[in-house]
Amino acid sequence: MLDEQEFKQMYNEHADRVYNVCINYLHNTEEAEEATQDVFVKAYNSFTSFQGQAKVSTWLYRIAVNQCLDQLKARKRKKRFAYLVSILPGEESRVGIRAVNFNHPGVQLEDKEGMEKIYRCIESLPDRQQTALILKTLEHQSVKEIAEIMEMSPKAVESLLSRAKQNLKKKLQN
Amino acid sequence: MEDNYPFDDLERVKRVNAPPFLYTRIKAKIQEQSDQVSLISVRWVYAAGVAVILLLLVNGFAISKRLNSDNSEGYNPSTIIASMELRSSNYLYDE
Repeated sequence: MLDEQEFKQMYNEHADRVYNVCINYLHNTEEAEEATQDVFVKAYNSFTSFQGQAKVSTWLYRIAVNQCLDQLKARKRKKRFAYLVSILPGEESRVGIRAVNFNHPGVQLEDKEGMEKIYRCIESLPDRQQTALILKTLEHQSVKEIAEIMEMSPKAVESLLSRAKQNLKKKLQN
Repeated sequence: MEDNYPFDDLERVKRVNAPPFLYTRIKAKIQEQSDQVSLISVRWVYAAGVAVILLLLVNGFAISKRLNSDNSEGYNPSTIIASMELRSSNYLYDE
């Protein structure tokens, strides 16, 4: 188990990186904060299982990616539920369900509309393509680092990236 | 449309800092979690204790009932002989 000093040091070194990954996946500050909290709680609880085969940053990236993908799945489930509720009669059934707003503090106001479209298209990509694309284009990680985070070979990451880029372009053209 | 669209646009996204007080919230969440774990374990200890006591009570009740019934309606050879009209001597013929 980590002592408080070590945990604080880990947080100070990696919090910004984890928060940026979360905001790039979830593009909503509230959800990204929640995800960052969960990432560090998981890291604190499972530090004993971290054997040090990878760098701490790689390990934290892995936890963050999984946390964000889980949160996106939960969001999709909520959306489906909201749709089902919306077709039911009665106004009171719609209370408490709202769409997630695009709220990315790293995007300038004049770019917001265009960037929202791009982010929504990235979100609609398959999980692995989405992860490879975010880590490469937004987190500026090398192919080798992405391969370590995703536990894949660098060649597989390269082909994943090229498919992700093609798919994203297609989605944006449609 | 630009050739490198949308990747040039994505290059313009700025890095952001984690919000202040996030560490405090994380610490609170960890504390809350450990409190819940200890609360759950105490509940389990109580539940297990109550289950054992109940089991012992049921056992004690069953044993005492069994002993009482043995005393009142226990095996008594003379009662059985009388009720079945059996002979208790070796004289087989009424001579």
